[in-house]
Amino acid sequence: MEESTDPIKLLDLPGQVLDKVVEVLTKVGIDLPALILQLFLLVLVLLVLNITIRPLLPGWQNAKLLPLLGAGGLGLIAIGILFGIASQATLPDRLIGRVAGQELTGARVDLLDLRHEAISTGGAVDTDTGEFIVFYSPAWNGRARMLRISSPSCKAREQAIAPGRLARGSESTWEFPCEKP
Amino acid sequence: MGVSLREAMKHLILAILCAVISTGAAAAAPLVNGTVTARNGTPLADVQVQVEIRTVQTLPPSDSQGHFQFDAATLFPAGELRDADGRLMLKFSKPGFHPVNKQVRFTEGRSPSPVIIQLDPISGSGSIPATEKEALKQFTAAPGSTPLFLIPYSFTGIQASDPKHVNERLRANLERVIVTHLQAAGVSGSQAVSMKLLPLEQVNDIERLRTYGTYLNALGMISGYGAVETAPGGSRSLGVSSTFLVVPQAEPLVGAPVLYVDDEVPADSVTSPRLYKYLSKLWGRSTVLALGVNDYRLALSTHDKQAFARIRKYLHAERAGAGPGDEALVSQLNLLISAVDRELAK
Repeated sequence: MEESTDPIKLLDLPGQVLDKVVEVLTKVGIDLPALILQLFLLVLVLLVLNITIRPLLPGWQNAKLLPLLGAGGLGLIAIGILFGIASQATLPDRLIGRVAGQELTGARVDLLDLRHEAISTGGAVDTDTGEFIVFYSPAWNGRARMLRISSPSCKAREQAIAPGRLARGSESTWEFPCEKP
Repeated sequence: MGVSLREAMKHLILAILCAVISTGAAAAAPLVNGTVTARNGTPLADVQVQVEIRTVQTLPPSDSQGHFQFDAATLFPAGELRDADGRLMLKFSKPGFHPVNKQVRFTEGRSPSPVIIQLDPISGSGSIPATEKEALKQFTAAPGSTPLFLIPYSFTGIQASDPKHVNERLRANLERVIVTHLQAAGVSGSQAVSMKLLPLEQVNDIERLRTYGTYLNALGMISGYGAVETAPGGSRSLGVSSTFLVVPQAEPLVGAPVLYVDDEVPADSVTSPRLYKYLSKLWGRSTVLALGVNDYRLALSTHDKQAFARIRKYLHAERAGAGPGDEALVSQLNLLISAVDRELAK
């Protein structure tokens, strides 16, 4: 499923920037759940904002444009982080769907976060119908980014999760063509 | 104003009551019960049963009749049960069998219908692709029935516009001659033997044939091919080569696959009486052997001496009627008769 290019997705921009920040932090060994990192960044941004805005307040009409723009930018980033935290907190804490494949004996699904780590519980796949339900905590771990399908007789397959597939009431089908390991 | 306030209060209380009742119903946990059997209907004891929502809870293993049951309320906290969204994933496993997961749905706290689970042995249907399994599901035999399955023959040289029609005629004729043979042999239950045509391509691999047979709970699997040949003089003949696989296994009596491949059978068409006269003997006798193995297996589980005596009688009769070319069959009949005799002597 393709990611939407709707202009409203611009609201996700701070979230995407945050993803990049998390990616960089993970690479340098700071490996924390999404919420902790978001709160850490929010505090950091608010501190810098505070430092930037304090000298401007007494005579803000006479302030130079650049510091004002900087403060405005930091404010937007803080709002973006808050928006990200709020939007992931409102996501459903489960993903219901169906795996379409020929080898479903012992198959299971796991949700992966941005760090590529499993963040879900449940996830066993019905051997006949391929139906599954998998749980996670989007408020704590952030939005699930990948779905990994594994079975003892096939190579595990990972697929990116478009945000629409995590929406409430969404029950999508995930292809699992069996490649022998 | 006072009246309308009272009305509003009444509505509010009713709404709260409804909300409380509906929340209670959603949280009400279902009682789930069911049975685990092997593909041939034999109840499976000591199957590990687990129930998964967010966490996995393990139940006592299935009893000697393959039964299991649980009250979801005693397994999961109310909150987790509410999160289940009306779905419980049951996980069944037993050494020597492929594990099975089954999602069970319940609504408003009502218990779902009893769950019937069939486990396939490791050498069984595990390798049948899901799409084929789906197509074959409708043919799966109920425990106690004894179907034979015909995999469509591939014919070459036949001027038939519809190969399916030719195979359907083949199936109908074979069913008739086999039932006639069984009745003549005095095998009880011969009326119950039926033959079904499977929607599969030709299968030449014996292990694959056995896999299908095990999945379908079959008595026997028949597969083959035929060709019309024209002799230099212009006379036409039909050669048919067939495989009859006896599916039930009664270890250690028949450990290896029991397989019969016939020779080329001269005939002039698929409806030739000569063809069916030959095949009725071959397949009729193979069916008697298959019924013998199946009955022997059932008699072993019930220790029924009368059943052993009955099996012995019809196996002896079949062996007496065997002729040249039946050596492989007679060898298998002898093995089975010896095993039956041993049980009768106990």
